[in-house]
Amino acid sequence: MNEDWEQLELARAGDETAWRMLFQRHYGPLVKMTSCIVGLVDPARDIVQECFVRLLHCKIKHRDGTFRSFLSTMAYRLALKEKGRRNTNRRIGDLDVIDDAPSPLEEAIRNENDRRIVRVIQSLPDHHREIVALRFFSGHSYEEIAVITGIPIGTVKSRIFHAIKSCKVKLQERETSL
Amino acid sequence: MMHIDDDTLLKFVLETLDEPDNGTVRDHLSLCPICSGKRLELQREVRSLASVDFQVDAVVPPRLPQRSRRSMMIVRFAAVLAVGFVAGYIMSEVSAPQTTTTVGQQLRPAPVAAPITRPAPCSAIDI
Repeated sequence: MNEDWEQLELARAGDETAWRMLFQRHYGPLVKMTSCIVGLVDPARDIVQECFVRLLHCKIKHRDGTFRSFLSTMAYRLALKEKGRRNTNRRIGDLDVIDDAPSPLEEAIRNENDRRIVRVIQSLPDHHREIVALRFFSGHSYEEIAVITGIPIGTVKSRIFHAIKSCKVKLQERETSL
Repeated sequence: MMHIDDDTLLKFVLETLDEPDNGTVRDHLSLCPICSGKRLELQREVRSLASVDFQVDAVVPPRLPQRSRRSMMIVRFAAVLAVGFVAGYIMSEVSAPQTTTTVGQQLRPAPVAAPITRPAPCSAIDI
């Protein structure tokens, strides 16, 4: 969307209104997507704030793609970095204990059905969860996801299919177990 | 009539099928109410994934950098200075007395100075 690029230019020149509009339009989906990748809401919020700070200072080489893809690529990379950092900082005593207590991410969701869905998505392997987050929480097309993640579009489609199939099976299992 | 298997139907709903297969499934769905029903159910399930509602509080955006604010201030200050300078110049031009000289005044000879008289020596003065 060209309007987003224009608003970024205005914001960089000091226009507060353009900056707020840009932020409000993209903040929610980005937090949802990064929360899903990192598994926590607060670090996801920090990542998105960091993205917007970088937007003001970074040198943009080309504007061929959409602004949303550009922003999501930045957020996606920062989220992967944050996730990697958290994984390496984990010690033996911090290993996850399998229990029914809601995760911090689930606690950020009010609706019980939505919580169930997020719990299932969180149980997916990382490479599946990332694609699901980009597709369903940020609303990117398969072509955009391929550019953001740097993997072939065929692989993106294949991963989304297996991820959703897995989600479907797990949700059915939970329903029957209840 | 052969029905569409679940995997193919899921791929169709996810829009991951390539065109020849996609067209075949679309044609079948237009004729088969059983597969159409399954498709609607799958679509509902997939949409529920996208509609997960997170509690995303309203947050203020990061502050714009001081650099751009400062540069805006400098530009404003420079503009005010420029306007003030131009206004001041115009005002001084308008209010200044007009000192024009005519050609006749310029050509008039300067007044002749009075002849210098030498003072008398002190001895010549009889006190």
